[in-house]
Amino acid sequence: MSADLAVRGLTIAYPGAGTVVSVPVWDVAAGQTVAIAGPSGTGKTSLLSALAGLERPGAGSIVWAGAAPWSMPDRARDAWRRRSLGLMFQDMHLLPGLSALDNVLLPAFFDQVRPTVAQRDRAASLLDTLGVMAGRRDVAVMSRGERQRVALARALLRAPPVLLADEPTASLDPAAGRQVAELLLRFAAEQGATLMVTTHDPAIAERMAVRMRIAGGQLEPAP
Amino acid sequence: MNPWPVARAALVRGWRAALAMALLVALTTAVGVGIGMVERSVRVAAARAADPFDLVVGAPGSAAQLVLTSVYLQPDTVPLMDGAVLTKLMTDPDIAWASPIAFGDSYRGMPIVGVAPAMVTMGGTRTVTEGRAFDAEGEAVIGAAVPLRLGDVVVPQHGLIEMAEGHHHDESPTKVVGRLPPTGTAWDRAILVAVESVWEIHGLGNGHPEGVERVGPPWEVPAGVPAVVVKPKTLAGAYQLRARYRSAASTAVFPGEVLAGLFRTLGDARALVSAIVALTAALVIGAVFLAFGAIVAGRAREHAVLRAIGASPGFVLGALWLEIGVVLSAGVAGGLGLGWLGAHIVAGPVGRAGGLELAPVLGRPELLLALAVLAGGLVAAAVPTMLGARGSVGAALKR
Repeated sequence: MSADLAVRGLTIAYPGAGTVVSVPVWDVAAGQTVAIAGPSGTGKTSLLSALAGLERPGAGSIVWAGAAPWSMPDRARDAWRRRSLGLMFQDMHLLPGLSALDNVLLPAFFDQVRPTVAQRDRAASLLDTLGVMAGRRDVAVMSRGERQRVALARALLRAPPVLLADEPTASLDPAAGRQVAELLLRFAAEQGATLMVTTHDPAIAERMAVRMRIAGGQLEPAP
Repeated sequence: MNPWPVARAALVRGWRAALAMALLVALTTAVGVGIGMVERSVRVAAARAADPFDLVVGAPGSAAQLVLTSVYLQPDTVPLMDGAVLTKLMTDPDIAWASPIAFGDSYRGMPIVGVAPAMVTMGGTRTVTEGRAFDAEGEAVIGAAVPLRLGDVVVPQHGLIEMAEGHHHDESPTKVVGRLPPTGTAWDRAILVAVESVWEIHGLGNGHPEGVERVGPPWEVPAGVPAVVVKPKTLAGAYQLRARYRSAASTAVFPGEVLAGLFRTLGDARALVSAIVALTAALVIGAVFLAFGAIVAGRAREHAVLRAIGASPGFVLGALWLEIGVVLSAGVAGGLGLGWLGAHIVAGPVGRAGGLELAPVLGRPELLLALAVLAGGLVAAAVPTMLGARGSVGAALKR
């Protein structure tokens, strides 16, 4: 299962700064891999936040496979995000004090008393495949590259149809960054998920099938 | 949903702050619990000590002093009641039994109390655990806690209890012939002798006509005594007795009633202490609330991440509440334990000071206090908790 995206008349505004990004019409086919490039401060993260149902846009509509997160009540939007999205951040944002395995399983606790056996198996095998050894270790003692791989496993736990990653490699050294980008692409392809990555690293952007950039406050195809 | 893993992770990471907050709560709870337990145990023990003393008759004066003298064996400078009143009392038809209480001597800090044989047996309702009751001058029955054995000889020292300067009455050694069962009162440390001995030691005769060496009533020519313990035959009789012996020559009081009045007066002090305890508790809860508020504010991003990856506001709220709930519960439970321990440590010295054996117990008031601290803390924590669970996720993520 995957999801296509339809954006219409979207504008994202910062308080006091007016419109920062506008996206008049943008369609993305399900299963596509997309890079959104551009220097920092151009609104890449804000656009991704709006697409993820995290930050309400100034105007316009966002529809993922028939679901319009910004037309939903808050509770329904939370549930939709839980079901449909896997999110990754530049700073991983894992929960220190929990082991890698428990971090990966964390989303299961949002609507279950405890993870199912299937989820435990999946979490363990994801960590295994991603090359994270000894998932019982506290994430606080892991390297950044390792932590980003744990974050990827967490995003993949529920096999979401959409993977959104905000600068997933920016805080990693080049080798670890390449590895994480590789894994993101591989898992997106394996699961048929739509992958959308913001990045200012051209090497990462080149790996994506669709390359966009924000220039002059407009989202446009990258040259 | 199950926010426990998130709460547990927070507790693991911030165990120092959690421990500090729990300790703060524990100490406050302990103070309230300890004070409550000791205060109640004093009241219970004091009331129990007064139980066997239905009516006390003494010289006109302070009722409280009369009770202190007879029930708690704490004679100050006690005025003596005329012996004639004692004679009249002993033949009163409303009386089951009565016994004078006469002081003036001590042995190694333990008071030697002159009484009638009826006092030893409480009018036939009490038996000695060792030996027998005294039946002559020169014999003594000791309280349960007196460190003497049967057959030991006591040489009385004249003077008030614990007074260093005193002269020996070498001529009147007294032999221990029996031991009383424990009562948990000052009487456990008393040495009981025939009242005749006490009178005689002080050159007042033995209360009987010349040549009569009997022990016990009737006393034909009794000397003055500080107090007389009276067991009335009936309740109605008790009130009649009290009325009858409230005169120019004597006063009569129900120790229970005097105590109740005393506790009423002390009640104001207790209310003040309770208010101080409550205020401290409120301050500590306030401090915990502020500390927790700061912790929650510092975790805004973590909460935003949880919300972003699919947690509902309720999940975040639950995690925070669980966290503070664990801290408060641990604090309150620790406080109950600490308070219990403190009360038992303090009960010894406090009880000895009052000649009472205190048995502090954890009662409803303490449990209610603990519950109130827990509930108050949880309610106070609701505000920072709800603030932590709300707010824009996207904005908090970017911060």
